[in-house]
Amino acid sequence: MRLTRGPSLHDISRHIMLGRPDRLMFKKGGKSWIELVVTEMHVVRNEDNVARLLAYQPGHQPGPVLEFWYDLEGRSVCDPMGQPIVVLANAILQTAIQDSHGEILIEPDDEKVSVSYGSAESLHPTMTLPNNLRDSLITRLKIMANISIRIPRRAKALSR
Amino acid sequence: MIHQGVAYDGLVRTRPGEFGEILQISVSRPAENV
Repeated sequence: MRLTRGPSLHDISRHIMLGRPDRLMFKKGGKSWIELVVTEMHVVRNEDNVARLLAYQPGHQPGPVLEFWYDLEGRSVCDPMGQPIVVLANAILQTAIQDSHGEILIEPDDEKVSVSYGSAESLHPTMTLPNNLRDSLITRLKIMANISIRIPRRAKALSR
Repeated sequence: MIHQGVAYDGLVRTRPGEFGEILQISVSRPAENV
């Protein structure tokens, strides 16, 4: 069941393996959801500088069932099921709800964005996202929560 | 400065970090329409 197909790869210069398969829910339409396992994330450096997210579905074909593509600013290049950042932000929340985690921590460092799940006392890194999704993901979650998307002065100065 | 708001059933709090904003989300109860 391949729902979409991205452009062919030319030059994979960096390959990030997630710590373990991550179960994500993608909205298919209406009240229909697809449960997927995201096992790999590729950062592809070709002439377009795009990042690639591969999603696999347990018990089905060995290949990916979804491919999402992003440019360096985290904007969607291939948009099969709505804006991927919207889907990703929803999936991060949905995963916590499904697995009964009370806390989610989204923390960027100089190379990646870590998403940790757990309780207030104990958080475990579960998902690693490329740094180029940082601003889009954080902005999306802040918009959902009606928080000002203005970048704090300290963070802005340090990111230069 | 810490900002906070509610996204679906999650209380979202942000604080500045060394490499950008850090978000902590407290999920209070199951949601059907996330």
